[in-house]
Amino acid sequence: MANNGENPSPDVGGKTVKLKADDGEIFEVEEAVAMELQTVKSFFDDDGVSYDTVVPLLNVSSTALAKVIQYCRRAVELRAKSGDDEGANEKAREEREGLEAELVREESDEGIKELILAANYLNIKDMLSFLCRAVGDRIKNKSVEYVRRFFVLENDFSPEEEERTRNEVAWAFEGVDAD
Amino acid sequence: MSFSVEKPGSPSPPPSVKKRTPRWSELWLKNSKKPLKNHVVFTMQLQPPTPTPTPTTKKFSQTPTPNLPKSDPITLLPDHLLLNILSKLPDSQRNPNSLVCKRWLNLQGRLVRSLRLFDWQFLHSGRLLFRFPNLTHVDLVSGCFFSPRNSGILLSHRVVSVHIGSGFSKSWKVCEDSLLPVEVVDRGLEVLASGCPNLRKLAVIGASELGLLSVADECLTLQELELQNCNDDVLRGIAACTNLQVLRLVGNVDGFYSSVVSDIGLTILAQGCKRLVKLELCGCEGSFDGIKAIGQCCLMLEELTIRDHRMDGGWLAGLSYCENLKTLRFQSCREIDPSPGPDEFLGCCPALERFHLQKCQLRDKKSVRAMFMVCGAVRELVFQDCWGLDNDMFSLAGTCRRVEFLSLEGCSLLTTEGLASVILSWKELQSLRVVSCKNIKDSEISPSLSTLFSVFKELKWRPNTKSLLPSSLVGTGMGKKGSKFFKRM
Repeated sequence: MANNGENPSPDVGGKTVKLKADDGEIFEVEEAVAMELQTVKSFFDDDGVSYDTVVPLLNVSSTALAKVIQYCRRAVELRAKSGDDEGANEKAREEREGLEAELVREESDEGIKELILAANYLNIKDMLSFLCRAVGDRIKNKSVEYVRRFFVLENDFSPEEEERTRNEVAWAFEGVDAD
Repeated sequence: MSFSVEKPGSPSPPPSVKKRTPRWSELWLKNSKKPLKNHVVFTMQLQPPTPTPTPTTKKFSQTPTPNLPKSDPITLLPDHLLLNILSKLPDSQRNPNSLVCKRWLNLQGRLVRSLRLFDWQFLHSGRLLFRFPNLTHVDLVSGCFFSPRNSGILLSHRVVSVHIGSGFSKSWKVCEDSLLPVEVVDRGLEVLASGCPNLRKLAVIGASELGLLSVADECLTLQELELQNCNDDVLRGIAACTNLQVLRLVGNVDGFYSSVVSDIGLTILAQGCKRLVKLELCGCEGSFDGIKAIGQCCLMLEELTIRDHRMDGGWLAGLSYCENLKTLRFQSCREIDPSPGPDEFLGCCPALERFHLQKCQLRDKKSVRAMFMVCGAVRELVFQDCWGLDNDMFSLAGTCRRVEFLSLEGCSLLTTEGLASVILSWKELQSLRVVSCKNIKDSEISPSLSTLFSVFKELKWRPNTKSLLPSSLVGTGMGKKGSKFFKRM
């Protein structure tokens, strides 16, 4: 989806930052948006790094990066909207939740996993938070097999270990709700 | 993108890096050894904790992408994110999640904070600590019994429940037959203490002071403790629990076990646990001296519950030494105080706000009178299912001049007149609750009483209800007596 042409530089003459995905595709984003990605922010926090430098993000695919940028762009806009006014704050919060829900709804399981890895790599706290919740929703009350398939995990228990764990769960203890 | 990289001289072990943010610029622009270490470290952060060896330290490819299989990138999720996801899942999913794989067993276990043990071997073998490294609340009571696994018989009391086999002893010494030996319990406590440094709440039965000392030594944050089958000797270990705030001692439970907590134990307790805020004494002996010691030493004591006591006459007067006591509860007491002593020595709990009586026998006028004198300052008075509370007895409550809230439930001897004669004299009364008191009749409400009711902040007047049926059962015929209950099918 995204490519160079989609990111019009703001007229204010604000700086833009170039981000490069794993396949070499370059995204030009406004500085404010780029700074949402803590990893990118750390990159530039260092002395002597000019903003013209292309930031290589080798662990992020271009599809994921495009979505991340799209989300961060909207998030920055919404944050600018909310100020002291409680009503405006509330509205902005609802819009943001709507944005998150939309992003999550369209994604396949693979897509969500890719996004969460990207958000972790790029260190975007808010995005990580709702993505974790989304993953949680997808595996909530699902069977052991389903969870293994979702995360592509192998059952590394030996039969004895598995038997022992099952027994423990049945006989040895019981979780108690915290007060 | 490629760049030339200086090979590291020798693969030095990466420093612990949990706190270090990776410096990209260092990585890419500055050609020094330092960024490589950081890169290695940064890569290592993404690795799952399972021991899959990846040779990232030895060789560098041209592009420093982590050498991880493309097919399952989600294993790159660090622990803290997985813990975040897992913590949002319902508790019912904890056990299935533990069976997904070893890493998940570990992660899921790290989220568990409270546990009730059933099988002592699970603790003794160390398995409990291996699986649940972050426990703060542990209830060992059920685990301290030899219990047949498949028993369908649960013998339950308010403070203790145990599964028993069908061949249990005829002499009703259930606990003595099936409690684990003291040495075993102590050893288990030692194991637990060594692995739960952050323990905050513990319940155990049949321990000795040695077991208690080992817990006190290691678990400095222990705040809440429940000791069942407790006696004076065990309490010698309690002084070492310096941060204890909530304590429940159970000495005697009829039909289960019988141990003696006397003045000696109470005094040791008083001198050792000066930070006590909440204390519950069940089935304990003792007398005025023990209660006085607690009052004088435990200056922060705010809540005291006395259940089924066996204390000597005259103990009530000791309560007036509890200067900060705000809540007092008597539960299941067969008698209040057989010989309370002269009025001038009774005193009064100065800070008392709430006094609750549940399932107590209030048949002796002298002791009930003394009781109300000691609790004269109370603002909230609650009677629930007490025997012997007739008009005469209740009139003694007139001593309490500052009552603002009164609750009567299951007091079947009291009449409207008896109630009125007391509450009309209580100038501060603002809220009243009367439930299931069958001798209080609506028809007997005098005009002055109804005037009083009209000024109350809160009034719950249901003297006729025998029990409150949940709305889901209304109409099913449940709760009706006799032939109406059994319908013809």
